[in-house]
Amino acid sequence: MSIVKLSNNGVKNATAFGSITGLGSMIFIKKLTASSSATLSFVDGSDGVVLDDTYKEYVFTFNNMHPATNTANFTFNLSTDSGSNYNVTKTTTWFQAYHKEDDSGAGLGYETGQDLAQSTAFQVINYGLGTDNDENCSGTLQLFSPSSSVFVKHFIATTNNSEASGYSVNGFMAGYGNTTSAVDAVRFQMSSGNIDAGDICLYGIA
Amino acid sequence: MARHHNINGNIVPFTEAEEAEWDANEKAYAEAQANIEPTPVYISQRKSAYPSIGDQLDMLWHSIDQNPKLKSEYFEFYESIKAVKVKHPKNG
Repeated sequence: MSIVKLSNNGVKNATAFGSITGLGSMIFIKKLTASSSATLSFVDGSDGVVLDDTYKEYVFTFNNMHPATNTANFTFNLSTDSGSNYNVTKTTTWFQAYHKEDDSGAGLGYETGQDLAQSTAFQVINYGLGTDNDENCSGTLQLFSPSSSVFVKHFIATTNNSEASGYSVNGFMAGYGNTTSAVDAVRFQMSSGNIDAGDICLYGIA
Repeated sequence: MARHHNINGNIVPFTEAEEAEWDANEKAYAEAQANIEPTPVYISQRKSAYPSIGDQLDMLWHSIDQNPKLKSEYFEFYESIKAVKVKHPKNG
């Protein structure tokens, strides 16, 4: 049996491995970089942004989201009118695992203060972000079938946050936009103040 | 400094109405933060140090088991747990 040596490019461009064919792809769509920005928005249909039925699943990656205001929450909302309004009705759940740097507190629990019940408000992705230079929040948000005219729009976020008072907070948020209209834009912002720095990338899952 | 949106990479300045809305929001947020009382450290320290709820209830049951008066006072609690212990003995 011969040994096949794969380079990174070979793996990246693979369409099949042995008998496994039709490998999927994670397609980069757009990167937005915050620079004292109040909001970061991805709107379908311009500047190379795709958020329609091209892909059945989209993934947003959050890299070192840093707030301008201490203890602000990192939040998001959906739009069905190309970003004119971010006010889709949502029902969500939120739980966390947390551990303090000095080991004085740790736990796992549901957070009733972070969830929504049929609310159009911005949804908390992670909370209490610190403004120390090294503090930030990173993670991902998956959004499924945003342009479906039949189904509600499910989303799942997993993030970790170096919280303002010294906790590592692993946040698990999930829920759905309770609409059968196509979601064609997503906005991210802090609950107060600007997004000082950080970047968000959008990918389509083919 | 004027605020802005970043929409698909394009910088869009806030309107006057948006500036006013965010000014009010930030003022309200700052006032709310100023009124938050810090959670005392002992709360989280105790929370992580307590035995599990199950262990606490088990200790309670065994204390009742040693005292006929308590057995009578907490009859339903005592008997319902005892019934499970009898049905599933340690060496059963």
